[in-house]
Amino acid sequence: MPAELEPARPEQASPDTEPSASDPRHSDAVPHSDVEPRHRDREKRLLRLSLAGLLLIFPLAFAAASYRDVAALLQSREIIGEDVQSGASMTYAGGDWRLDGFKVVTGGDPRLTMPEDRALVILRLGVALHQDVGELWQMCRISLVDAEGRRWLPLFLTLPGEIERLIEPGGLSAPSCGSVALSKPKASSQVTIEEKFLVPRSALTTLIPVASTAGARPRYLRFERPAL
Amino acid sequence: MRRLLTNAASLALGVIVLAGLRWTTPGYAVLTGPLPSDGRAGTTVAARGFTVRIGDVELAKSLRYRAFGRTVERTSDGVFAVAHATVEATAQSTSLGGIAWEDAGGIVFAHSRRVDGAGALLLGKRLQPGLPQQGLFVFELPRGALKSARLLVSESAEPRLDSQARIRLPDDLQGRAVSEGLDLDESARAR
Amino acid sequence: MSVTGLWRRLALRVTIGVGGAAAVLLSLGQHLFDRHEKSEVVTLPVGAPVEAGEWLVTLHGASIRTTTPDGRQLRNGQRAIIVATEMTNRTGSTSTDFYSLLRLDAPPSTSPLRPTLYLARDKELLTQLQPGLAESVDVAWILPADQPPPASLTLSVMAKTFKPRDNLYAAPGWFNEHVVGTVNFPIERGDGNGTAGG
Repeated sequence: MPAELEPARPEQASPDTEPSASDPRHSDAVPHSDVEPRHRDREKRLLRLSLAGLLLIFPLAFAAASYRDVAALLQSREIIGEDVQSGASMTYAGGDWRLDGFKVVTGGDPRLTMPEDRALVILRLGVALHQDVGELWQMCRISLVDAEGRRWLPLFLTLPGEIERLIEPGGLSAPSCGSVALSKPKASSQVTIEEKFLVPRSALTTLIPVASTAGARPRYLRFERPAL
Repeated sequence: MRRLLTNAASLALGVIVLAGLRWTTPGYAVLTGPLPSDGRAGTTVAARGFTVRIGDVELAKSLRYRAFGRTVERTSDGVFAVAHATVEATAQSTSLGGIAWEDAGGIVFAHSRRVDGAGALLLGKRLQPGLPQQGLFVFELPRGALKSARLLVSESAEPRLDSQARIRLPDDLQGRAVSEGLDLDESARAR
Repeated sequence: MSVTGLWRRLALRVTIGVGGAAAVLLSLGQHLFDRHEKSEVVTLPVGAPVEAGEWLVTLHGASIRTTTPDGRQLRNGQRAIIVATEMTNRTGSTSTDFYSLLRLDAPPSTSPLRPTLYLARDKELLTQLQPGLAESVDVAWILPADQPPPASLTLSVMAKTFKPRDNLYAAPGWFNEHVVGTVNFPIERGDGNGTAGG
């Protein structure tokens, strides 16, 4: 049973005194603080440096463990918006993007009537490519966002040919953004992206077309609609 | 001697406190599992990305519906529970991938896949914000599962740190009449 | 160095090491226990319910057909062994884990470990089984065309054990698939057109 340790008495310590094995108050297994003041100061400084080092190491360790997740988060979120004026185009993800058409279908033909609370929106974006965009345009997201932040995603809808012609008498229908990206369009070509949405009529006035791609997020485009 | 007893006592206290902390911590699956939104049938229950309102629950021994150009019949040794529901997306376009019936004992019966193709089903149907959808949830259950049950509704089938609406159904379902046959399309149209 | 000093150091080391030593010994003991060979292979009866972990299964009989239970004709002279069973889900939730319940040991099939299951009531592919509801299920294996039709078949019934908390997520699950027993029974011969037998 070891005797209780007495606190170190500074006046007893001297630079040349080693803890004595024959001293009955001490034993090899029990460390004691009876060291010289110079050593104690060094210990204190080392302790402070270590604590300060922790303040540095924790954020570094956190960053090292999560930088990939942060990169993935930035690639999936639309954070920095850029407004595209009506009629103008904006350089984004390897091309100049322009709003070509925002068509609202509520009726006009017996075959096109929609229930009163909803409307079909056909959105067209024209892009003049500067480079090959197959990679940049992966996971491209085209949506309509209203003033409250509600978001409508495109319909996976292929309309019968005659309905398409009713809606777009002059033009051809264009592929969706994903299809265009898969077809790997070449630099300095023109592509048209078409997406269809089903929205409530009450939200029509505040809807804003928004586009982003994995290669360019967290930046995204907000298109101003031509005067309604 | 006193030092030893004090040390032993504080060690024992530490062990007890830590053991208690460990025992009362839910498992990882619960900690990262669904975030419940509780409610009752007949009221609108709001989850993160959608709202759901359960109406009437009909019971039948067999179901009938039209799909892929023909009439399909499904019979059961248990009972089919058909719940009328109105769902609406609130944040963005989505669909409900998790629709299940939980009985009083915690047994979970997933939405029946035997009626795939029925037009009135809400399982997997695309929901748009601002456009509520009316439709049906269909479950096949043993009779004992009708009492004090609740519905679990979520966007993903196994929500992880996402909302799950838990809707209590009326306690007296097991006493309701079970019809011989129920036509899903007619039932959906009638409500 | 005093004797009490030595004892104290030994006591310290033993105290530090006892936890690790206990863990190693326990794990070794458990490993040896698990590796102990189960003695004989159980033969299971036909027509009686068998508890097989997640499932309660009753085997009723087998037949050879040229059409699958959902009415599709098999091509290229292929035949299917169809085992009529009744299955009940014993777990706490709807399950689709029925593909490995029965393993075809003999005759050789194109995919002995993964048969196709059909719900006899609907005559369609089995999508899921709800807890507590017994259903007639047809289990089908495709036989290669060049094999002569076999006279009998040997099945192994496999089962998993329930763990209320698994080692990774502390979530309940069914693990460690093992053989419950084997069944050997004759195949009722169809006439190749699938109109007799079964």
